[in-house]
Amino acid sequence: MKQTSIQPHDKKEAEKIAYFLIKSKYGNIPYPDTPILNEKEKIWNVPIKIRYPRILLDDYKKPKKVRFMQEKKVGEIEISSETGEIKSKPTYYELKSSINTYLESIRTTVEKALVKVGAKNFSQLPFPIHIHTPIIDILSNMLTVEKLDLSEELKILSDDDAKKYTRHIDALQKVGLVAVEGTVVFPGDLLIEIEAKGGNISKKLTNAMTIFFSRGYELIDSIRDVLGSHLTMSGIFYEYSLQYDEIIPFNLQSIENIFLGLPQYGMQRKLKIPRYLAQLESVGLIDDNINEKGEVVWCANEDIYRRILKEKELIGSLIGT
Amino acid sequence: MELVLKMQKKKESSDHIRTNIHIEVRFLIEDKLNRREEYSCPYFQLTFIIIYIVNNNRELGLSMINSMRRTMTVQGERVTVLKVPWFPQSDSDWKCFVCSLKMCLEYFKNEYNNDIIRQNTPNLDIETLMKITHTRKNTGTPTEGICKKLEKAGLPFKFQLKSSSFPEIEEKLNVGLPAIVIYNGSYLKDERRGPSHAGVVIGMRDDDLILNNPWFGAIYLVDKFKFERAWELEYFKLS
Repeated sequence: MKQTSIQPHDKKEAEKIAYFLIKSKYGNIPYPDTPILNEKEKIWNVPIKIRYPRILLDDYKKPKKVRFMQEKKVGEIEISSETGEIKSKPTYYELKSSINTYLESIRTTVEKALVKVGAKNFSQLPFPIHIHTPIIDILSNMLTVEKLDLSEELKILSDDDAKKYTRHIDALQKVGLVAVEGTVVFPGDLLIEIEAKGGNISKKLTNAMTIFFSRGYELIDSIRDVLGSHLTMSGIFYEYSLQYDEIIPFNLQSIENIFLGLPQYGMQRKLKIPRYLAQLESVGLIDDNINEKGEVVWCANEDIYRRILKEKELIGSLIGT
Repeated sequence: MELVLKMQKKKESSDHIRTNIHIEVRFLIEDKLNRREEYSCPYFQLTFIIIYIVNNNRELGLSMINSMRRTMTVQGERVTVLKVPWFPQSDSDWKCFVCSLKMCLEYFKNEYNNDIIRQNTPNLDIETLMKITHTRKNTGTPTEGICKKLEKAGLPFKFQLKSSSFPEIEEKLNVGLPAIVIYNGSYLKDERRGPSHAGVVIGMRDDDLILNNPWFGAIYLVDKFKFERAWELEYFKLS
């Protein structure tokens, strides 16, 4: 591409230079938006945008419809308005990182909405699923010994584990399930209310987790520590359904392709996927069905999906056209 | 029969009425007396060129071209299209170019009425084509150096960046050659600019292009007038 040989004096030419740079260096998916002139610097600022298509196929791989996600700026090219020289541009990896951040933000938004709306369902997942998390440990301690002296308890943990416990105690405090005085952790008002309603420890823990999920959905990192793969997998069903504006069924292969393609998961999780699906289905977070070809397919639960759609403040920015 | 593969570039034509990036496929058939016949195929920004020497120079006669076509009813009307197979893009949004390339390779491999071309067209899967073209998740296919990438991969074609027009595409369709066109798929759908999209032109009527569209399926009719604007957005219209 010989961008430097062109003398752009107008917006159109700046856009054209940016277009050829984007298509040649980055790929056919990003595209230039309308250039904005910085008269003082004599620079055209050309935003690089993405607007992903989502192609909905039927059971026979025939396309049903295409929707486009909202457009998003993922970078910028600066072009001299005098010479046409490209003054600055993102590297491919900077652009890629920006795109990944955007896609991750979509996933996060959907997961927050799903945790908020499906809190009760998530809390019904069997506790052994909540491994590697101190949340259950802390709440169990609150419900049995009623206080935890961090100055003593954290000493015996590794630095990493101690930090993790501290972070989760902070999250539980934010949603009102524990209170902290100095180095001592006590049951919070909401946990005390749960205790007052009676029931066994398991039921109280389930209720506490419901509150943690429904009130603490913004603390998505802590919740991911608790729900891990189950949240990621259920989130996929709702993310795609929101993008297509209808509930999308997935067969096992489709869900495997998406789940195992996520950066945090690898092929070693493949064997676990049917179990995750069964467990999510058992608590009503997803539904199973048989498609026209006789395959088992899974999809978002309609009631939860409808309730997520009502969370306009959370998911409004995700709805495409 | 002696087969020699050579490479040859085609001169750019500057008098196109309306242009777009496309790949062009050219077959140069040369007999022992150095008489040559040349066939071109407009294609997304690139040109395939095969040069080979055969004992008997064979032009593609009408009956041979007709064997590469089929006639069917689409939206209540009879249309004739090239037998280019369709490959869906699935839910991945960055594979339109490689799916279009795959469709054309499959056509030349299985349907094109010339033994030498069929025998020398490789059977490459989508994943391999993605690697060859450096197509990457979420960003798609970059055009920089794409001709060299395809040639280095051993495809027996010469590739060249090139512009095109409806008449030029139609001319090639008439001799049994499909075209990959790049246009703004998002604009065509809802008149909002978005990513570039590739599709294979397999037929043409007065008012419509007939595409194998990796998104929307095989034998997809697009109004030429609407298509033009989506095509022009990709910066290849000459004024």
